[in-house]
Amino acid sequence: MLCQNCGKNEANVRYTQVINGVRKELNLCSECARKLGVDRIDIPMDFTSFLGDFFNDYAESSLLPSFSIDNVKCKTCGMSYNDFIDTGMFGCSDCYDTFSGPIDSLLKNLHGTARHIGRGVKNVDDLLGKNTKSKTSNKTENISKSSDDKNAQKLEDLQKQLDKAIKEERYEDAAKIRDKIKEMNK
Amino acid sequence: MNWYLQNGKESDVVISTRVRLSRNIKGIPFINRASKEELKEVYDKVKEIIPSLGYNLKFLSLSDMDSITKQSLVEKHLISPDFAKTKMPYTAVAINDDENICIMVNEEDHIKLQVFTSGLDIDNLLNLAIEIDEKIENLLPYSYHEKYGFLTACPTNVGTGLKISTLVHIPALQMTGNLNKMLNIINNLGMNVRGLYGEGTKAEGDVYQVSNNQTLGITEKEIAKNLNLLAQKIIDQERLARKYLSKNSLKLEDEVYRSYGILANARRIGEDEALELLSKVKLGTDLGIIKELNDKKVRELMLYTKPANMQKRLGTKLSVIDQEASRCEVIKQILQED
Repeated sequence: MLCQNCGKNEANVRYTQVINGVRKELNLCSECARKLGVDRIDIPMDFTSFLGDFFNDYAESSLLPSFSIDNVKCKTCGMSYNDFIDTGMFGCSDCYDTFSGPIDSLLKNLHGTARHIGRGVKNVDDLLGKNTKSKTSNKTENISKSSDDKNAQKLEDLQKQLDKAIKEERYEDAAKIRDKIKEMNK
Repeated sequence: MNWYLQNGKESDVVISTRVRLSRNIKGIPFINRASKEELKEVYDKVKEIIPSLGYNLKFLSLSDMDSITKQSLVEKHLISPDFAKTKMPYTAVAINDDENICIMVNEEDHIKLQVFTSGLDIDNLLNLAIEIDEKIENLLPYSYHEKYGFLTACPTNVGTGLKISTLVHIPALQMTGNLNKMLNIINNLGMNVRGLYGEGTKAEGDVYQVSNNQTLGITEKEIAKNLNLLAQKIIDQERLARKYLSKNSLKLEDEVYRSYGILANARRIGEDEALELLSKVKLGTDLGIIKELNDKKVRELMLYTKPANMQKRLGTKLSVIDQEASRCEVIKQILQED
């Protein structure tokens, strides 16, 4: 039987529609079925579960005997690692810390590494002098706008950066960071 | 004129380039775990800051958009097909008149910042994306992890959150039997390649999307450099294959002009057939064989033979069968323009 839509190809998809008790049947070729959007129901694979399976394979090999994640749930969003396996998606930022053990090996499999080396959030970039463009006006604006909460977080980050810079003997960077902390404490 | 109707650098092979950054707002769960109120919070926050970013961005709620308009954005590759179909509340796009900036709100992540250009121009595009990204970050602090970088719902995007993709038109590699070799090489280099239309190895229209897989443990500059290098290689190989085809000029001329002949004279053309004919016609135009056409017309033909953009152009809703005749009308219109 030929496709009832294009009349050219052999029909290999039967589409039945029942609206208000009226039954309508169409025989379509796969091409037309795809175009009319009736083929989606026939596809058993859904992408997120496929991704989940993929992660599951990695997760098994990464399970250390001492590390049980069965009952661990993310405190912030309530997601368990199994939920992640099912969907391939994390629930919130804190999931990355909650499941950092299995995530590390998962990320290594996906990206070859588990450590970010690209751009940071802006204030960190400025500190390290990565962005040499003058952003002083931006910076002050940023500080005045941000809440106290954010300032405290920033100071803490700065202190960490300072310690790191000193440890790594990057004294030029350290000086910049020190000045920045001074400025913020004014 | 919008970018997708123009030619850019290396446009004989590279149709367009996209740079995309995946971002989430600090303190709000990712969309798969966010409550309705939290999705609204993302929506409201982004809506609030959009005017202050500049670029004449307009914030448009997806729920206010009819399905043809949404599909027309998919056809221009401005939004993902899944996003056009989503039933999620509080989804939106922020888009400018040139349509070279399109921010998806509450797609897979809170913010998917995308910038586009015709042809191959990764470095400028990346700079633009970072410029906008920094402006947004000033107003909406991002979810960022010292070790993992920018956090995303899917671990395939974490780190830089950066995906760069180029659309390449490589009919000569296909015609000379070198396509699979090329696709294998791309895969082996750790890049992702897929046919843009249709399934299987041979993509309809000979258009393939090449993009980076790795987003973590690599800098933005490296990703850009790698993709640039790879694109350049694909361009070189495709041009070489075209040169080879040009040796038998009568055969090639015959082939592209036959496609042009059908395209110009048929009375009914389906979407897929149009894609295939246009692939040959674009090749013929790029090689200077088809004198009747220019690059702009080819771009218009590629866009307005797609169902949703065709219906938008004609201003009417058409069944798939009626579209086949209307498609020929649209083609005629474009060919007759001066």
